[in-house]
Amino acid sequence: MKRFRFIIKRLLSMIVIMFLVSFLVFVVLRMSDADPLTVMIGNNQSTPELRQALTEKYHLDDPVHIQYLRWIKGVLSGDFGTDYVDGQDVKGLVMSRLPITFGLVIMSSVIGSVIAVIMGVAAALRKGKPSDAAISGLMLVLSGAPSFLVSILILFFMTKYVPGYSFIGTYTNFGEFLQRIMIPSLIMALTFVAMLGRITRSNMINQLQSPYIATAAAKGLKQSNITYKHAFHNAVIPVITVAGYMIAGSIGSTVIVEQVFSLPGIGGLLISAIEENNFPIVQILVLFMLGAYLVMSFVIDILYTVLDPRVDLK
Amino acid sequence: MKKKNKAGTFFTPVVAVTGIFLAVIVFVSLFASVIAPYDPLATDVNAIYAPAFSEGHIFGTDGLGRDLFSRLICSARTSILNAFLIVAIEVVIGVPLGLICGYYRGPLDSIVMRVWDVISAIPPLLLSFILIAVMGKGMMTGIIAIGISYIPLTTKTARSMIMTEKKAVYVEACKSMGFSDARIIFVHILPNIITPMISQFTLDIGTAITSMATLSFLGLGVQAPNADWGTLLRDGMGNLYNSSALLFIPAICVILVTVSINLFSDGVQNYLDPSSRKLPSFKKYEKKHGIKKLSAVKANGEA
Repeated sequence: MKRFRFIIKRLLSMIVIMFLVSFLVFVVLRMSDADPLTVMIGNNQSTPELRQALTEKYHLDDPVHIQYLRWIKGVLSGDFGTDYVDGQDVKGLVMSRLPITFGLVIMSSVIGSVIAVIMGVAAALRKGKPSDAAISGLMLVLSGAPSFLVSILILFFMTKYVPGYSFIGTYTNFGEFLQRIMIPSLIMALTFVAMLGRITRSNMINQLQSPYIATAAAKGLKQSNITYKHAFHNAVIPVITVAGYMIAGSIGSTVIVEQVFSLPGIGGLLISAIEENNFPIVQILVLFMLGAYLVMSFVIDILYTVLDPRVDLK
Repeated sequence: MKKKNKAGTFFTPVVAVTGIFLAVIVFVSLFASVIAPYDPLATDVNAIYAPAFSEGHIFGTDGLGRDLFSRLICSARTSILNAFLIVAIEVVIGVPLGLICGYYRGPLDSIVMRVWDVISAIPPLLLSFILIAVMGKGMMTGIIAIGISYIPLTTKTARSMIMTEKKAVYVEACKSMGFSDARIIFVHILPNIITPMISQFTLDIGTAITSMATLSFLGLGVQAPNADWGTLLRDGMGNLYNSSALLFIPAICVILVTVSINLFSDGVQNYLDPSSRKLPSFKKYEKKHGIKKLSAVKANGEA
């Protein structure tokens, strides 16, 4: 019952945030200096007839809140409208870009989390030894180095020393798709390794020092049993939470590797839409990224209460 | 586990090295216009894509013949200044707001906290995109956008700290002497809670540099002809096949600076947090009496 109320409360606040942010973005975009008509007309000759036709087609004369209601109604029924620059269907445009972004997020988070946990546990078990110092030092450098820098450095070395390996641009089949996203996902995985690895290490050290481990050892349990069954289970719960938030956040940060490796994902679409003042695309992508993040963090919170029964629901 | 700063001094080797390095960077960026051998915007058709370490251009030149070294130190000024502005926004808005909310509580507190909950529900990079989409791209927008994304955490930290601090006896004493609330909050409580936050602010300068560089790299931050490190990286990326130094040197520069700031703020944190350090006097006592384990016992007891 308590959990049910918690879920309802979180769901409601999520919906409110999404409507609020989408409304604010919608309204303020229309208050900015950019004039949708100028964007739409572009290099064509601006005639009063054309302006009139476009104004009517996009309902630009209506008050802003009416425009918003029309837009959000469309979004809820699956119609994202047409974009300002090319007059294309926004939904198709976004859908064609989704595989790359989702591929990057899923691949990088799986690879990154697995490596991070292995390295973190390994470092914790060798606490104070040179191998621990090496792993921790590597993680510190990785966490200091921004991911876009790592991406361009790797791109630089790959193009220079691994000729013939193409990982830039579009794809035609699944094999090529994997090849395109492999290197960028590995780079994004580095962020996971840096962050999660350090958390795993410190949690694992904390758990190994707690009294119940001494009890387990006193009972005569095998060391491997103590480490992997007792300490690891408790140490990994906060790691899962942070990993979840990082996965949710990486939906927005794929934009960096997408730009560097010129991959056709939604991040690149958002950047170009912002530069062109292409409002319909900006609105829907902001809503989408925010929604994905909120849903993800919602799932993590629920999962957290399931994994750790001690957590109190408010 | 934080590493223990055994000596109890601020200048451990790591802090000294990174501190000197950062001081040099700040010094060079302050006097960039004097130190730079060339005008960072001056083009030279006779020296296009000069390689690094060539005559007259220590880091080479770009596609317009602009000297990379001059551009690097002049954009250092932009990058560092922007980072300080971002942290200034965070401190100037976040800290007083947190203090006032935590001291008075009430409806203002609930409203501010709800708003910050919404803002911190959005990932920082996405928040920057939203604000840039709304306010238009540019340096000021970037600074404000990143600054805003840092405010919620600062407010929450200041708020939670003042909530425990306002129960202290000295606050009661101040009240009984009839001091105004403003005086109690900003003269008496603020100095007590700002110290633990300082290491967070130093760390934020580092993340601010990379966040701003990311925006500029994506073409949404600093606009030409002005340049920061992100712009240089963007240019370097475009000219990757002509001269690799254009990408390589700014990249190394940013990595060195951000890693130094991380290590430096770690040092600040260790120094400011007394529980994680052994006082020098304690060490002398141990030496004098030939006691080896006392400090270890004491440290464990405190932890």
